[in-house]
Parts: sequence; structure tokens; C-alpha cells
Amino acid sequence: MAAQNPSYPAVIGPEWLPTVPRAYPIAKGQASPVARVRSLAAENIGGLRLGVGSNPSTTDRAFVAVDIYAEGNEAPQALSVVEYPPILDETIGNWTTNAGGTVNLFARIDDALVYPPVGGDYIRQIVGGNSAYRCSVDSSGFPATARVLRVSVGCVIGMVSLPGTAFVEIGLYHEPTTTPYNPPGAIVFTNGLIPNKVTYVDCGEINPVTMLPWTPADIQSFDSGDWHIRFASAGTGGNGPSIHSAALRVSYLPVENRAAVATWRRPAGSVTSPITTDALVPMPAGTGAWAKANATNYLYVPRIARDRLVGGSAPVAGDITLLAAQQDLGAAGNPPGLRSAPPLGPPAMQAIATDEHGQLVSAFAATDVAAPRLVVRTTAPADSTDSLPYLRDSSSVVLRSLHATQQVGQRFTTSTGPRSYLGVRFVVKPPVSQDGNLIARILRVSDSVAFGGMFSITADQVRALPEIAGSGGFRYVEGFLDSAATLATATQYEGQLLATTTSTDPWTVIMMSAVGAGGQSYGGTTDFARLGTIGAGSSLTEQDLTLMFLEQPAAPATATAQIRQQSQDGDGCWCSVRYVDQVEVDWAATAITSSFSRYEIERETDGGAGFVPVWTITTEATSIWWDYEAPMDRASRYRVRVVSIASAFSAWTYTDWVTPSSYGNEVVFTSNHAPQLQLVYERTPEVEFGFLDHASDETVRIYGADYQVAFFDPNDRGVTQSLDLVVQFGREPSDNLARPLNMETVFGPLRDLSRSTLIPYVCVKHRNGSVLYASVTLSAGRLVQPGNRWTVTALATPLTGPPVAGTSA
Amino acid sequence: MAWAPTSDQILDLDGVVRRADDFRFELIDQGNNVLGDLHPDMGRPPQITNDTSAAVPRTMSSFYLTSAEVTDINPLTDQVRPVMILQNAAEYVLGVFRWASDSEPVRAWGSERASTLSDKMVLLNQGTSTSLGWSKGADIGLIVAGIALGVFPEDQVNLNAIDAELGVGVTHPLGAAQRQILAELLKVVSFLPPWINRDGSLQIVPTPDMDSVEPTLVYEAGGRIIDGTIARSNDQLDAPNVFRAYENSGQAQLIGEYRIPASAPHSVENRGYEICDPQPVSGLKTQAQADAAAKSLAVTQNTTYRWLSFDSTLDPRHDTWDPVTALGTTWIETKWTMSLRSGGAMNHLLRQVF
Repeated sequence: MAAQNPSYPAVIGPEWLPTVPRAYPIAKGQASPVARVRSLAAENIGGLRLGVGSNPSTTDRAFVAVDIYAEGNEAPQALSVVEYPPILDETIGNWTTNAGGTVNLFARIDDALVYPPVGGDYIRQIVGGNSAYRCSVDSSGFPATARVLRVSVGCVIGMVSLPGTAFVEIGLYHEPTTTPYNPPGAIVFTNGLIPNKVTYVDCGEINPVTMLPWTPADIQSFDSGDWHIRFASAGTGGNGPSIHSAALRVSYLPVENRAAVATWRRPAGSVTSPITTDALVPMPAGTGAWAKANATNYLYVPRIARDRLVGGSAPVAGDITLLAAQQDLGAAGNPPGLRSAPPLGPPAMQAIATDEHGQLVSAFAATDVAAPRLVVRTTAPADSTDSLPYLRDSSSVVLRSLHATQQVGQRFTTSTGPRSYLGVRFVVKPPVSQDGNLIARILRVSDSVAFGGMFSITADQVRALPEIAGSGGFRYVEGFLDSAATLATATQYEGQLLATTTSTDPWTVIMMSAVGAGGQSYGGTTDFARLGTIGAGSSLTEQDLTLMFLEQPAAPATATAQIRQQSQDGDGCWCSVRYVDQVEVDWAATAITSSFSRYEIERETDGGAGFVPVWTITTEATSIWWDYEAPMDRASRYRVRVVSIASAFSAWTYTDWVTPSSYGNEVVFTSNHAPQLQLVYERTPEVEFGFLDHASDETVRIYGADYQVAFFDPNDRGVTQSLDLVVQFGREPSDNLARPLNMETVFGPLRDLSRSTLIPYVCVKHRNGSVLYASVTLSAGRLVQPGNRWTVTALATPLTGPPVAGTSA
Repeated sequence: MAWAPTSDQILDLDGVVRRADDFRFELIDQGNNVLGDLHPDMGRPPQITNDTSAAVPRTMSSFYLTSAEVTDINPLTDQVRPVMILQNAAEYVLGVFRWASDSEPVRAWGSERASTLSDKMVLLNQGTSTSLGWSKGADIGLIVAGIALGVFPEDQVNLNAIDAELGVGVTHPLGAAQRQILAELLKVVSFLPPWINRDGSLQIVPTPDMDSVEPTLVYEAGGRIIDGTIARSNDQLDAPNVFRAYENSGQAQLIGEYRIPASAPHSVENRGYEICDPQPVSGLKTQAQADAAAKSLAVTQNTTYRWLSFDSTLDPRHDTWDPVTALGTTWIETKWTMSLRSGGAMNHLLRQVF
């Protein structure tokens, strides 16, 4: 979890806020948990520790395989199947050929596994007494890169003569230990004189000798090596069984897609969490330590393995769960800043079904912002820095009370400085009914001196926040210190939460526990959670409090506003207006790089209502923006600030006042959202105004009283402007090649603008500071002769007071 | 000094001849946490009706949402809390409503939502999943609290103290509405039927004594009654002059009686004969209890000799079963309807209790 809690300079304190305990089932027939873990170093790995839940009364077995994939290799693949016929008798016992011969029995049963069997030859056991036949197969060519999905023994059996019944026990044999291994269903009865159809006996995916998945080397060792296929029968005299063909069948992927596999066999009864895996080996080698690569995302997939030669037909336990913690901050989701920089991203898990061969049925899609309790162990042995150590459960160790006599804190050590921190975020459960304030602050550990201001929130306010579903009553609280805390480099501080409520109805905080996971928590065992005041409390060196502080970024160094005279030649309309003044706002780009979220730009107009947001820029290198909606003949100024991905914001940087000028009686129809639609026309001097406020006014006559009572709409509906525009004069409309156009073409640009869905409104501005953010309705378009004067009446109905701030890159 | 009338002055038109009412529609979750504001079409203003004779008294109709907000709500779980705002910024909650029925007309610009909403009594109007019964001597207060708190959280229930026991055993069949079960139990102790107030809390309160009540809601000539809207009516032939509450289980022989005063126009004395309204009340224990229950029926039974109906300017202080003084007489308000717009009318239906 060190990767997700990196003490990143823009955020100090644990960034990972596991609000909801999760338990993903590891059970037969259920989807398996898939957890993404980022490798932060090249290491030799020899095992895993997993947080698991279990039912202590369960006595059933479970063979858990933890498949480890490099992310991207986990998608399901089409499997291949190969069948290897016998090539050598290893022992024949009482078995003979159909003619009674006792040599080269394998040659009688090496035909293809088909029904009806090919040829009339077979081997038989008609002597009586239990006797086994074993043989090798020609598996030396099995690909050494393969992933073995399943080992089976296939055969076609029959009966030599009637009446009677006979059976064949079908399985494997391990020669070095002289041990036969028979899976469930190994004993197959014959079907009378007519041979059985092809019978396959599934021996699963686990080698019962190594207790690891079958490897390519294991398969190759069926060729004159350690493993044989084995058939045994009691014979029953002349009515004994026959075998017409046989083969070792292997289902596999040509190229192993797992990096390694760990195994763990559930003991009967109670299980102490975290468990340590029995083994972890690289695949397809199946032996040695796993050389984990650096800077790679691995997927860990614990699932129930098909251990048919190990567990046989004993029931499989269904009680095992992988304990995990989910970060769910409620309606706010997981806001920027609560995650590490790409490519790591937030911790991720997903439950994905596996098929009968243990392959995931779909690629990993990281649906849950969750992390399992998973400790990766090196061969040293030691805990890898990849480990995800935290346990979020409902114990009183993880959930700590916060009240007047027990404050809580989290220590952190700055890596750079001085830097200013302003934002504060934490997860807390409010008292049930008590009121009182909760305060967050920062103290220097060495001398308990406070830095910056405090953040205060009442219990009522926290109770009013949406509860995080499944968290047991916790709320996600965001706020800002009264003033930024400027922290020096390489200094240890403590963020604290203090409350005034009594211990009978306390606040509750989450202190995620890394106990049992070594030092892979936030800040190792140097920075940790605290209970009580500095010097008088207790240190919880393997726990961390869900509390963080966010940096206040440095403001843009300079900002300027300049008037730019924009030429209107060739703007697509036929008016005489040559220029329109626009405002160019420039500022010095900041350099907060990966912490950057956006610049926010606000405009203040002389005599207006103060600064209003006008635009947002989402690229840090972009340091220029044009304001097309600035009023004409009225001074405006701008201010710019930078906001980090953690939502912390800089101080404002201000421009000087600038005044765009009008050039006559022009009306500008424009929008910052689509300035390419801008149109400028002359208007006649007369303007009609409509007062919308009174549309809903009414008077009510009262029984027994003189006059009446007036009721009016308390909302400001604004004032409309009816403008008579001269959209063309002196000539017929024509295109660029002087070809005549339809008469109504002259109104085309204005119609397009008034009906455009690219803009939230049309900004209608003319001289003396008049600006309307309006809907424009056209009426009474006219061609007046002589003089080819094309006029139209545009009714501008205001839609909003302040502008709608847009966003661009 | 600025002109700053109080809220009561504004609502009573006491020296106020110019009003500007505004409305806000809060979308809230089931814990009454505000999720945001809704903006129904005020060209077709929403209308709230509170009818004490209905199973679910308070409803809101003509609630039209635009397509921009249709997708933001979950009508199965979300609730709406309309708030009236006076010109002095005073706010009055007008009820907490759940979606009851919906239609979604599809327009060129998207789907709208035309809704009717009901107050939270719909939760109590659901049938029980088992038959319910209590034996003689059971504490009525505990039974009522159990039913109420089984549906509403404690902070949404106003339960006045009830110190009474069932005089006989009482049973209700499977599927009986919990509202109806509560109402039957409350009759025994002369309480009003349960209702939800404008803040969304369940109210379990005694029937007001109309002989002594002093209404705070007053409508007089020259006040705020809209001209030309007053209508008087009566139930001359049907209005009962005797109310009887009788224990109907057959386990006790209790009959309570309330005869309206002789001075009433339709009293037995003036009319010359008796028109009785007998009502079964299960669980009565004492004669005093039965007589009180009979007197309570005079308030809650929807029959009387005199009715008064009129329109007034909007007054958000009205709730349910309000005693009202109108034109010099004290009435019980059985129904009101208000159109949520500035200048909208509020229609009142009042019944005189004798």
C-alpha cells in the first residue's frame, strides 16, 4: 500500500481511505476475487500472506490456487487438447493381449481413442485376482511453454465374454513412490460385450506429489519417466475386462499465461488470518522462486483448484473469503487526488468467474476501488513493498473512539518544503445524538507547535452528510483549514482530530490496521496513528488514521489583460462593422505538473456584482484565454488561480482593468463557448424593452376590504430587448464567386446562431456595457427597397444573470 | 427604517397589501437529507390538497418536471419537500411527499414527468402481513407505539401519552391497513385518526375540545378571504344530533353517548326527533371512555349541520384537523387545497362542531 499512500507532496497523510470492509468469496462455483497489485521492485518471491475469513466449524477441505498474472495476460484463451497413446509396457501383471501374448501389450491399445474402436486387437485381464497394467506414453514433445489445464486418462473398455460384470480402475501411477493415484470415478464398469464409448477419467490440475499445478515437465515425464497411466482389474476369470485403446489426454494453453502460482490447503476447523501460502512457484517451471519484475501490474486470483488426485470426492469448503477493504466515499465518488499517479491508479479489484479449467472468463476491468489484505513475501524472507497491508474490519482496534478525553492523530514526515497545506479530508462516524465540534489541525511533533489554522465542523453537520453505504455510519468530510499550514521539509508533523463530546456517545474514526503485514503501511513504522495528545498518548506504529491534508498550490506569478481588435472582415455576414474589441487574458503558467487540475478564471466588471466565474482551463501549459463576452465601454478585470487534482486552490492573481470599446451602434452576438459563431450587426437607434417581471403579477380582491392586495412573482425575470438589425444593405446576397443567393440567405448566420446547440445562450452585447445572456428570437425579417436594406427584429430574452463558465483544454 | 412586517403580518395581510410568495421544491432521501432542488413547471403550478376524509390526507398534484430533471430522481425512493418562502425569507415546509403516480409524456425535447404525490401516510396505509390481536388489558399506548415505530423512525413520530388499556380483546385480520388499525385503537382513547404533519412526522394526538379551543388561524371580513368565494351549506336532513360509541365485540356492554347541545339548530330539542350516528369502537373499557369517544366522533365524523367554504390567500401554517375561526365562528377544518404560486388561492372547507 506504500504505492497508494506515497506521501506525495501535494497530499500528505494516507490517501487510501478504506471505508467499507469487503469479503470476496473464494468458493467453488462462485466468481473469484481478482486483485491488482503494482510491483514496485524486482524481487524474488516465495510466498503470500492473505487475509481470509472462515467458518471455524467447517471441517471440509479446500485446495486454493492463487494464480498470478501480469495484467493483460489474464484474458481467456482457446485451449488445445492432445492425446498421447501408450508406447511402452511398464508392468503387465495378469494382463495379456487378446491372443494371450505377454509382450508389447501397448501396441494393442495405441489406436486413436474413438468409438467403435479401431481394429480387433485389445488387451484383457481374465486370470482373476486384482492386477494392474501400466504403460508410458509418448509425451516427450509436450510444449515446455504450456499451461496445463487438465490431465485425463482416456480409454475404450469392453468385456471378453458374457455372462458377468467386470470393471477397470483407471488412474495414474507415480513410479518413484510406487503410488497409484485414482481420481473420483476411477472405477468404471464394462458395458457387456459391446465396448464402452470413450471414457475419460479427469485427474484434475494438481500434481498430487508436488501439490502444485501440473507442469510441462510433469507431462513430459509420462514418457519413460516418473509417471505412468494405470489400469487395474480383478479380472473375474473368463468374463474379465478388455481395453481396446487408451491415451493420456492433456488440455492446455500453448503458452503459460500466468507468472506464478501459489497454493494453500485449508486445514479443518478454525483458520487464523492472515494465512501463509504453502508454496509459490513460477510457471511454467513449477520450481524455484518467482523473479517478480519491477514496474508491472500483477493480478492475484485466489480460486478453488481442481485437486481430484488430492482431495478426491470429499466435500469442498465454501466458507473461505478474501478479506478486502473498499474505498467508497459516497456520492462524491473517489475524487481526484485520492489516487496515485498513473500508471498505478487506485487499488482495484473485481470478482470474475472462472471456467472449469480455472481460466478467468473475462479480462480484468477494475470495477471495485478495493484492495485485499495481501502481503507479498520475498525469499529473504521479508515483506515486499508491493504489499497491500491494511485490514478494515469492525474490530475495536480498527474503529477507534474520538471524544473529549481521547483525541486521535496521524503522523507524517514531509519530503520537501516549505509547502503550504490547506485542504483537509477524513472519514468519521458522528455521535448518535450529541452535538459539539470536531476540529482538525496540524502540530509539529517535536514541540507541539500548531501550524496553520483549524478546520471545524459540528456533529449535526456531519450527520447531515450522506452516509457511506456499507460503512456502518461513516461520512466523508472535506474542508479547508482557516489558513494554510506551511510545513518545512524533512520534519515530522501530526494531523489531529479533536472533539468535545463525551465518551458515552463518541465520534468514531477508522484506523486501518497493518498489523501482521510488516512495515508496508503509510510511512512505514515511522509515521503512524496516535491515540491521545503528543507526549501523553500511545503510538500505534502499525496503524494509520484516515486523515489527509492537501497542498495549496502556488498562484500564477503574473496575469495580464489586453484589448485585441478583432477584424470582422469576411465574417460571413453583410454588415459594415469592421472591428470588435476582445479581451486577451494571459498568465504565467504554473508548474505543479501531475497535481494540476485546472485554472479558474473570473471576471469583475466595474459596477457589477463582483467577480463571477467565466472559464476553466484544464491544461497547465495553456496560459492564454480570450473573453468574447466582456462588456463594451465598461472596465473589466480578471483573476486567475490554479486548482490541484486534490481540489486545493492557489491564491488569486489579478490583472489590471481594461475596457473594450464599441465602434458605433453595433450589436455583437457571441459566445465564449463557440466564438466562431460570432456575428456583428448594425442596429437602428431605437430599442424596445419588455419587462417580464410583471407577467405573473395579479391582484386579489379581499372580502370586506377596500381596494385589493397585489401578489407578484418574487423572481427577477429580466428585461427583454427588441433590436432592429440591419443585416445587409446596398446589394443582393451573393456567394464568394458573385453568384446570387436566395433572399433569405442573408438571415442564415443569425438563424444558425439563434438555434445553435453548441452554446448555452447567445451573449448579446452593445454599447455602454449592455450585456444579455439571452435566447434570441427572430421576427419580421424584411427586404426594404430602394436600397436593398435587409432588416430583422431580434428579441433577446435574458436567460441568466451571471455567465455560464465553460471549459477548454 | 425599512418596512419589515413579520411573517404573521404577511400571512394575515395585517397591514400588508403587497406580497411576493416564492416556493422551493427540495428533493430529499428517506432520511430527509436534501439531495437537491427540483424545478417543476410553475406555469402549471403544483397543488397541495389536505383532506381529512381521505386514507392518505395530503397529496400534491400537477407536479410537472422537465426532461432535464426527470432522470435525476428515483420516484421509488426519493421524496419531495415543498417549501413556501415569504418575502421576509421566512420558510414554511408544506409536507413531505412520495411519488404516487407518474406519467411521462414524451416531447420533442425529451420526456417530462407529470406526477401526483402523496404524503408518508401511504407507508402506514399498507396491510399487515399477519393478523394482529391483543388481549384484554393490553396497554394501548404500547400497541400504538409499536405500530408507529415499526413504520417510522422515532424522530418522525409525535406520540402523545396514552394511559389506557383495552377493555376487551381486539383482533384485526391479515391485510388490514395499519392506518385503520391505529385509527380504531385511537378511537378508544378519543384521539384523532393518525396523520402526517407538514414536516413529515406522524401525529398521534387527542381530539381537540372544540368547546375550549382558541384557534390561531382566523379569517374575518377585511382579512384575507377572497371576495366572492364564500359559500355556506348544510346537511339539514342528515346531520346527526346524537353520537353513540358502542363496544362491538360482544364481550362488554358499553354504549357512550354525546347529544349535541339543545341550542344547536339541529338538536333533538329543536328538530323534535333524534338522528343518531352509532359507531363501533372495539376495546372500550369504561363508561367514561365510551362517552368521551362519542364526543370525539362529533369532531371526526364527517357529518354536520353547517359547512363553510371559501378561498383565501395562501397560508402555509395550516396543517390537519386545524380549529379555525372564520366569520366569527369556530370550525374544524376538514379539507384545504392550495395552488403553489404567488397570488394562488387556498380553498378551505370547514365544518362546525356542536
